[in-house]
Amino acid sequence: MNWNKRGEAGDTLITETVIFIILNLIFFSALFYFVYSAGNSALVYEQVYAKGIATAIDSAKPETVIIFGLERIEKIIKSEKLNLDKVFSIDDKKHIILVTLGKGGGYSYKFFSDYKIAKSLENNKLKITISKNE
Amino acid sequence: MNKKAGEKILSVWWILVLAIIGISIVSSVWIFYGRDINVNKLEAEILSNKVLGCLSNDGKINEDALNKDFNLFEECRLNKDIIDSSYFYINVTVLNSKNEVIKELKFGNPSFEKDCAIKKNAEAKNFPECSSKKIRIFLDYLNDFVYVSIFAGSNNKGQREIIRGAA
Repeated sequence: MNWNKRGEAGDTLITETVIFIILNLIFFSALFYFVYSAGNSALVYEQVYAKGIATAIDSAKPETVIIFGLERIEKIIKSEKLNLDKVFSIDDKKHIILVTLGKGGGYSYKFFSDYKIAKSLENNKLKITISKNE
Repeated sequence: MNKKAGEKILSVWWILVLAIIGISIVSSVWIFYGRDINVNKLEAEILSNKVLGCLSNDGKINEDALNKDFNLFEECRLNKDIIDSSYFYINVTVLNSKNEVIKELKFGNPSFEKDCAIKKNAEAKNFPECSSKKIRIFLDYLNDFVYVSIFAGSNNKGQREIIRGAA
């Protein structure tokens, strides 16, 4: 009987220690993931591409095609297993560009030109076609 | 009993240590990588060039621009809702050779004129960036030159979007 009680106390101690270690592991892995995703410059490139595309659209004239190389973010897209089609979204009704290089979110930026904008991906390059809004 | 109390104090202390570590790492990374890339000066230049381009052609003014029903947004292919939001400003003033105002158009946030005047003389971090241009154009029907002055400003802000339900 006495032995059983000691066994129960030992079990509780082991459970508490395991929970403590698991919680610590979760905390430090979340921290590591955040630092890793920030360190691969995804946060910076999201902003660079969003603002680059917005200023390129605003300075372009109708019937222009703009091609963006994606070499700098290729590594991020592969490591994060992102769908390239969903990385760039351009809403020509709300005039917003959203660049998403992570699973948690992205960076959006407004452009002021009233054009019809079509986006396509060709040979790992982003092609933006600007035409007059009817 | 004492051991249990000690464990409780230790766990509270440990949570505090983790919180300090977490907050300091996240905030320092955020400060380092989340720095804003400011393209407002470039946007103000693009906006003023765009307006100038649709008001003039080969050294002559687009005469429609002096009409009452001239629609700057349609002519220059600008979105009215975006320009009229508080992040942009356009002021077009046409003056005759006697420096009298023939036409004036203002859209967006008018406080940019004062803000940019302040920014010329002082360091101001979150103030708009502006671009001003003044050109002399020959006007056929007046047989005289007019001055077209364009003032454009941008304080466009990007936004970090968080996708709900994402890992």
